[in-house]
Amino acid sequence: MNKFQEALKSGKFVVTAGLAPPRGVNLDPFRQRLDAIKDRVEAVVISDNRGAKLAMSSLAAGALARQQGSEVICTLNCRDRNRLALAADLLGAFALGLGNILLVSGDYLSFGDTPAAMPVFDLDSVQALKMARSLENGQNGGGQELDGAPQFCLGGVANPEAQPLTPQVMKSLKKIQAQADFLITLDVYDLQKLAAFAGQLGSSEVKLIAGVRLLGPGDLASQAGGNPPGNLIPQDLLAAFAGLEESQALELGRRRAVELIQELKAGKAAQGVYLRADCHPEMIPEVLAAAGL
Amino acid sequence: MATATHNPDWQPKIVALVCTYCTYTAADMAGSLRLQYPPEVRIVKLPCTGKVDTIHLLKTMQAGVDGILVGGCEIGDCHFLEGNLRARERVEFARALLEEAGLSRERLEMYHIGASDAPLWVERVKQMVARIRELGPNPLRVAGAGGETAKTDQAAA
Amino acid sequence: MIIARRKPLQEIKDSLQDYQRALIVGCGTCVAVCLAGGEREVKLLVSQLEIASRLAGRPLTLGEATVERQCDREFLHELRHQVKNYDVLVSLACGVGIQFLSDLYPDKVVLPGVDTTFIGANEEPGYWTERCRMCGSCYLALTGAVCPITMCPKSLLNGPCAGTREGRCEVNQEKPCAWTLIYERLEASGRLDQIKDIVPPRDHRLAAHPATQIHEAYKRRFSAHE
Repeated sequence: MNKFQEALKSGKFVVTAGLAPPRGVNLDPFRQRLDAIKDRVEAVVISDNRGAKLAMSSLAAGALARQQGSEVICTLNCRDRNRLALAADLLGAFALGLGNILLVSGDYLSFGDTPAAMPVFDLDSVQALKMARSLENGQNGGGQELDGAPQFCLGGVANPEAQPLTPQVMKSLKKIQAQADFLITLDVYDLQKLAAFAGQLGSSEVKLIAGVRLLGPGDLASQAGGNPPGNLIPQDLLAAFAGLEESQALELGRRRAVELIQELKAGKAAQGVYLRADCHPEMIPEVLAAAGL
Repeated sequence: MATATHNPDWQPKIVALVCTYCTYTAADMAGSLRLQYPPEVRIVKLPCTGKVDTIHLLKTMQAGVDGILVGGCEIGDCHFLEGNLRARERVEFARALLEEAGLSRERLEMYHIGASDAPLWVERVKQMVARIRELGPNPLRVAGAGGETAKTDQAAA
Repeated sequence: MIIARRKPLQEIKDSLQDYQRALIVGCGTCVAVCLAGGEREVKLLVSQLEIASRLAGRPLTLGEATVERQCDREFLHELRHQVKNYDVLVSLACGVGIQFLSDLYPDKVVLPGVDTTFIGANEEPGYWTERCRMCGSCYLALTGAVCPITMCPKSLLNGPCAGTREGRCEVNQEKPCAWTLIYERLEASGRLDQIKDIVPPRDHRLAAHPATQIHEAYKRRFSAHE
């Protein structure tokens, strides 16, 4: 059992942070960021061509991160690989010591840098979870035997702020039915919604890890410039950021993320936090430190 | 400009496809009022501009006219409710097809002219004639008559 | 029916560069309804090509013909005398008709004049929407007659993705989220239970290409093609 799995099991507040693999083969910034956060988190969530934008393979980056002493959760999406490739990657992940896997359907290609590529979506995230569990039972997705079975800690994505919420709850319940160990949420803005969502998941053992996004000018610009995937930054927050200098905006974003993490930790809705700071990943350590983590 | 190169004796030929309920009446009234307007326009009366098909517009240009003016009712005033709106869309489509084939889209235009608006008819005809004089003869006609290498409108301009 | 889109004139013109005599062949079925390749569109293309070729000083001899359906041999046979006068055939039918025309007249060069886009509904004249992706395993009984394969860009089978926003699709905010629609329809008719369980992955063999289908009553004649 690795550090992340132990933390999940222990019932303590689980701290994770997101990091994108290098977009290229220069590993230095990635390695520096890993070193800066590894003692503050239970696992680093390594994204998989997030936003449909090219980055180094999540498994390769995850393996490098582990060699360097960081526990990781590797994301695998269903957009870029069919069920055969997904199963092969899962076996390979386990062999490399990457037992924590976040299975997602994947942001649609039109959001990214390769919009003309073929969208695969052979499996959806629920079916992918189920297939990964069948690997653990020593069978491929079609029921044929494997030579040696892997063991995973598997997660999915959920959105407590989706409108309407009930179809989203149904989907999350299916992920629980497929034996997901944890659900990482999209960016949380309203803790009441998070609590309401958690309440609808019933008596399941699944751990809810709440997504917190460190907002900065880059995030505001990306929303103003179009239609980014995921939850939009709410109007009242946009208003609070309006007219601020870059440094002031970063400070407000930092303060807000710290407060949100503290509230999450004090509350009961979520069993952990997933901090992402796509525009300023270098700020992750100071936000976690300020939040007392 | 094309005007510099074409035959000075050239007189444009413009076909006006007009609706009987509005533009035709305006043109008729212009006659009664003895309003002067250029003689280069040949009027074809239609029951409604909604009767204009895209292929009519293309074939007319292909036959060698220098410009086409479609005259329909003012927006909201069509006798058949939206024939003029449909004509507008088809004229836009035909303009795109003509341009794709190498003729200027400016050779085809739709105007909305009410039945009582004889002066507007006169103004629009003058405007269209001036525009076509500027564009010069339909390059298809030049190619047909003189046997010289035709130029597209784009190349000529 | 099948929806197609006329190719840009430039592309058709370029493909005809090496030929003098072209027959433009329309199809009176799907592509006529979607205003891409019926009799009217044949006339428009011929007119455009005549204008363009005269302007280029390289006149093409153009003919026009429109058959009831290009995906049916009996209608293509009607062209057998006419095609002799041309060295190239431009088909305005869907991809099926284009290939069938070429199969029937193998000594003629056959070129496409349209791009075939999808199977769709005729919402209004001039407005068509995709409704079926021919998956070979219809899910509509399960999903309240809203197709998750077609109407969800990710073809998800087990519920909405996390990106759905106020019932709209993450990929295109103008469009409804298919899974929100499915959920609402099933909820309204008291059938939510039928999507509570995990739907297994699709069997892509059911939509394998190139597909062939032979009716039970025709096995004796065609089983050799299976």
